[in-house]
Amino acid sequence: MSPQKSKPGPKTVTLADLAKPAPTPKPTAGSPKSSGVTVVAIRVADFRSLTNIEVLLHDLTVLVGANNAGKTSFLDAFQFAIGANRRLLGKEDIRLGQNEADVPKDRRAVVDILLRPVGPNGEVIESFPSGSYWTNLWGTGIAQDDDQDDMVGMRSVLEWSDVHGDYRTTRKFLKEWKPFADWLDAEDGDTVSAAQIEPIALHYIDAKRDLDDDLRTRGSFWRRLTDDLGLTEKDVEELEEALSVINKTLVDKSEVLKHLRENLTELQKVIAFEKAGIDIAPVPRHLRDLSRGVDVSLNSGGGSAFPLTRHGMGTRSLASLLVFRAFASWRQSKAEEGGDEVHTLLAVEEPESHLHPHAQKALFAQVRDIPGQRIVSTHSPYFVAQSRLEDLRLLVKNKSDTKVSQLDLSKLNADERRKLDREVMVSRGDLLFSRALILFEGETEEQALPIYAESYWGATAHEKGFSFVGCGGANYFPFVWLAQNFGMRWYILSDGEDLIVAAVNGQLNKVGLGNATTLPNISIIDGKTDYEGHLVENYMDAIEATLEAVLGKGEFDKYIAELDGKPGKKVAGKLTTRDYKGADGRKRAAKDLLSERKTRLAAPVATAIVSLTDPARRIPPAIRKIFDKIAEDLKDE
Amino acid sequence: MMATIVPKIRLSGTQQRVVEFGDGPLLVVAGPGTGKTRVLTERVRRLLSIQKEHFRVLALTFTNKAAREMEERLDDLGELGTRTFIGTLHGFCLDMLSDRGKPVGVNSTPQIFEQFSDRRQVLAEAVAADPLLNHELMMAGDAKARTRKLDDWLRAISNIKNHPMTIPEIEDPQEQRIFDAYNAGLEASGAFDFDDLLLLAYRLLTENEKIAAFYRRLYRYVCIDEAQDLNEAQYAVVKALCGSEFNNVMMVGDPNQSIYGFTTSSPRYMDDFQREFRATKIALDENFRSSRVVVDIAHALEPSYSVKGQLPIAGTAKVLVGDDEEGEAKLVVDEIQRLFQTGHPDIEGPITPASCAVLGRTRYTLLAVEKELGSRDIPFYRRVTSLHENESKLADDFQLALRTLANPRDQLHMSALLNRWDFKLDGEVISEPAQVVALMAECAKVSGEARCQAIADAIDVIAKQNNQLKIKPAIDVLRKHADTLAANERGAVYDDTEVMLNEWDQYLRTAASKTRALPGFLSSMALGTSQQIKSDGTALLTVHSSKGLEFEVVFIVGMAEGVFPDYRAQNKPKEMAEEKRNAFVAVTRSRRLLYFSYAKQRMMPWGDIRLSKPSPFLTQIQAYL
Repeated sequence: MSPQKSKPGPKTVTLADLAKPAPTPKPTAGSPKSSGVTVVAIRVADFRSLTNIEVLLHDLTVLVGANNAGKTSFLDAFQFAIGANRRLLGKEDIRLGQNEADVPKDRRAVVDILLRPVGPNGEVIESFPSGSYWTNLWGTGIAQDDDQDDMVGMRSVLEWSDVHGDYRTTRKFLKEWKPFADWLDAEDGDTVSAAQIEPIALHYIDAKRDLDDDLRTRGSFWRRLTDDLGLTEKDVEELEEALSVINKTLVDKSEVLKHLRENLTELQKVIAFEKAGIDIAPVPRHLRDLSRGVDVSLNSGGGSAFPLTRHGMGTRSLASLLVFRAFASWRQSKAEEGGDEVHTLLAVEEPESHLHPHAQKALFAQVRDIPGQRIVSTHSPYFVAQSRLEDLRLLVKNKSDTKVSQLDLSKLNADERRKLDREVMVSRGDLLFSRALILFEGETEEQALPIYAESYWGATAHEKGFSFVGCGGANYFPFVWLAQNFGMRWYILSDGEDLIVAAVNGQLNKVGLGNATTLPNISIIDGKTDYEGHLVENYMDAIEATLEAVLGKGEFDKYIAELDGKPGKKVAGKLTTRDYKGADGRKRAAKDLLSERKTRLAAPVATAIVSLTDPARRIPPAIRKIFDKIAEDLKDE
Repeated sequence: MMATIVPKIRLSGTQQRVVEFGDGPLLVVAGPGTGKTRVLTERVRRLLSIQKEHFRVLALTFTNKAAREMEERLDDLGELGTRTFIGTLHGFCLDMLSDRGKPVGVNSTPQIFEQFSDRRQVLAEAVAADPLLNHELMMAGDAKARTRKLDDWLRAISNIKNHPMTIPEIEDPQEQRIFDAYNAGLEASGAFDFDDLLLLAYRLLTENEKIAAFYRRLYRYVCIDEAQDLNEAQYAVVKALCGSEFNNVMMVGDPNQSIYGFTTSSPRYMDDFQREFRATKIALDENFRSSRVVVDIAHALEPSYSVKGQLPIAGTAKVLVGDDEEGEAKLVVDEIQRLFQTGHPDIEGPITPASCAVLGRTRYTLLAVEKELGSRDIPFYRRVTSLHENESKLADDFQLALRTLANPRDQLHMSALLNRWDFKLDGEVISEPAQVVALMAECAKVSGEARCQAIADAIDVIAKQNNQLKIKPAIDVLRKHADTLAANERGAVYDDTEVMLNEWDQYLRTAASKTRALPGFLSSMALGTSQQIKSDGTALLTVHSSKGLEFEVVFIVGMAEGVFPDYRAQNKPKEMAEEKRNAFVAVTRSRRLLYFSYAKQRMMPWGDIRLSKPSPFLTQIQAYL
């Protein structure tokens, strides 16, 4: 920003301001003070698309997964359990099985949440301390687990009621928290009252948020914050006084308004009210009306400020999020002043909506700085890249069933963890959103595989949701570990040299998997050769044609003539000599040429292969093996 | 600002001391009319208004009636009321066990066998299954002697359960065997007896430090009313709740009003409390309730009772002597009617039936007065037993059926019900409510009896409520069946179901925040929390059931030797002391006027006529009559 003096007039903020980390809420509230309680787990059964899942929550939990994997259903289930603004739910919120025409009457949607006491630094502790706000709030609703540590379980059930002829919701405390295998058998106790949920209520900001709407919608965070501006009676009186002065001045100065008033005064003659006065107030007279019209103008750097309405959805959506942050910290400091506690619980659906990649990168800090516990569902690789690995939850839909997985980082050493962070998360956060991960060795494959995939499926790899990842030097471990732990589908196309196969096996063993040659999702190129070797073995015709088309007629023969007998590349530290004579001499030469000029040749060769007249030859066998396996795995989706 | 709306209640100096007392143990000795409930309420209010502190207050007492009264007085706490648990110690233990009784083997709301006959049945079956014990029982003699033996054993069991501290282990192997057999029998039915509640709660708190600690964190202050009625098991639970550190306990009681000797309660636990907790003792010794004559007579009965401040109202005390019991009753009711007509200078406003109470040492002494009141159309109500007994078979059937529905494993009540319908349960294993419903439907079908059908239908209605329990639809089914019966039987069903609806209503009130469920309702009925107080009409009360109540005018009938004090107390100092406390309680129920009456001669149950002398208590208080 230019160092210009702030001039009087509407306060403006720039986009750059919005992207800055939030100022510390208030000195009184102190730095992130623990609310004394945290939601550690949510379980959902038969709600919308979810059959039976458990999600463990941290301070910040990031839900990732392909579209339609069940992220929104999960957030809706959470909202159903303890949401601040609860909708009326009905039959359509109960899970409908794949082959069912209608929801069976006795099927009930159940959502359990588990809360635990936490200490000043947010760590889970054994029991609520003496004099805790939460002890008094929940009373004997607090239960003890098998270790006799304090826990609060709440069960929300949506089920058909014969008496009411409608779906009804009940909320009860749980007397126990059972293992996930038989969680639905847990015994419940007293009813949970609305007042007992209010201080932990979930605020849900869905993908449709828009500050411009918030400014106008009753009950929005904006309106809840601004409806009472917190002024003293004296302030109000003075300001309203000033308002009427402004009104008077306006009317006095404006010929139009004066004219209007004079004409309207005629009314007095018709309606025989004594001393009926006509007054025109171009500006609201009362402060409470004025605050309803609060507008936000935004100066997007350099230009003049203009109202938010005129800004794009991205800005409005982000602004809405920031208003929630203001609301949350305000509410927290108010509760603390009154000696109460609130546990701010926020669910945000796709905070990155409408934001350009750069802003998506800055977004993470914004969400991180909202006080309280946050659950974020995202499709933004930038957002994921900044998240801690342990905070990620991957939702994967398998047939009609959603599964949730999280990483067990305790099995990794520091070095492996670093690798995972650096090599996967930071650069390839998008992998978490793919349906299948196809890993391979080199650059040629990277260029060629998308071409084969498009030929095989008749759709681009992007459309199919496939990710291709080159893992030079058989560096498969971080990717396979991640995919394996997240329950994602992964495939390897590996070169066939003994050294390489041994390296692959070494990597797989680290993940706890057996021999690469026995796994159906791994294709090892036959004949102890690499990808280029595989091509020359099968496609000399297509290669010859491509070389001629790309390099020019006779160029290949020239290559052979010039380089035959010259030193070749090192193999296992030893220099080799090129030998382009004999029956397979031409193949060896083609292999060397393809390797040396990958960037130039990989794509054209692949294009030539997929255009062959024999359909059976259009995909190299080693790749076809992988594709067939993928097709088989995905056939039910 | 509040003060202008709700004037601050004026408290005396000692009352103020109790209200202002801070942390630490406190023993309040409060005689009749000292305003102890008000002091208790004010103290709870003061504790709860400590700003920025989050805790609850536990207010316990020992009878349901006292709990209800405390609840009424604390009613005006408004929102603060949600931060107080008011109830009986038994009720508190029941909640504690149903919420977190797992470590001591209680998995949900326990079913309580409160009836002596139920417990006897459990023991009888357990003994029959054990050859050794069965032999021992047979040795006792004929059927009557065997029943007596069983009752002795039951009392012994109860005694053990009531003394968790002084009888931690049973030494006699046979006693142990009986004890174990009985408990196994209860367990097989998935039930507990009344004494178990305390014993299990005691074990839960002593064996699970963290659970006890939880309650100490939840309830920073514990108030115990009617502390003179504590027995060992109850005191043990209180001590277990406190552990070694916690001592914000206030006990309020009056040793002179301890009259529940038959439940092994004793005012000595007040002394134990003072000693063991090193409690500060404050005596409330002003009586702002009773007229001078009432205080004087109370003092004459119990010289240790002295009063520092009192009302400047004289009051009167009179003796009415009838020729026989009917004559006595006539005199009493004459006087009541006279008071209705003329009023009394010591009593403000008119005297209504509700201002008067007739007290008797036993239920029997009240019968003549009841008849007389009835014949003169003076409204009255009795409260002689804490548990309602059904007049109709249908209501009995229904309650048995509810029990089995709540606890399908409860074979005892299931077979009792089937017996009444001339069926037998032959070895069928029942464990699901649906089986209970099906079984009853089957009985109704086979027997073709309308009564069975009505029960089966009513149970079906209840079983189908998958969520919130409602009792009314089932009662409608029963009443519909009653409409087909003769007038007498029909009326009985209507009356019984009316009582059930009242109990249901009370249950809903006390369980406002709780889940409405069948086991909870049945437990509530068993604990008697759902008993209602009526207040229109003259009260006919036994001395025991009059505790905690007060009336402008009190008639104490049957003041004859051998009746009050009871003839069985003669020459037994401990029992005699208890009788004296009974008299003390009876007298101090009066605010203004006292009447004592007796009959010169009494008709004995076997037809003899016996001359009677006035009660020695009357001689003791002669100076004031």
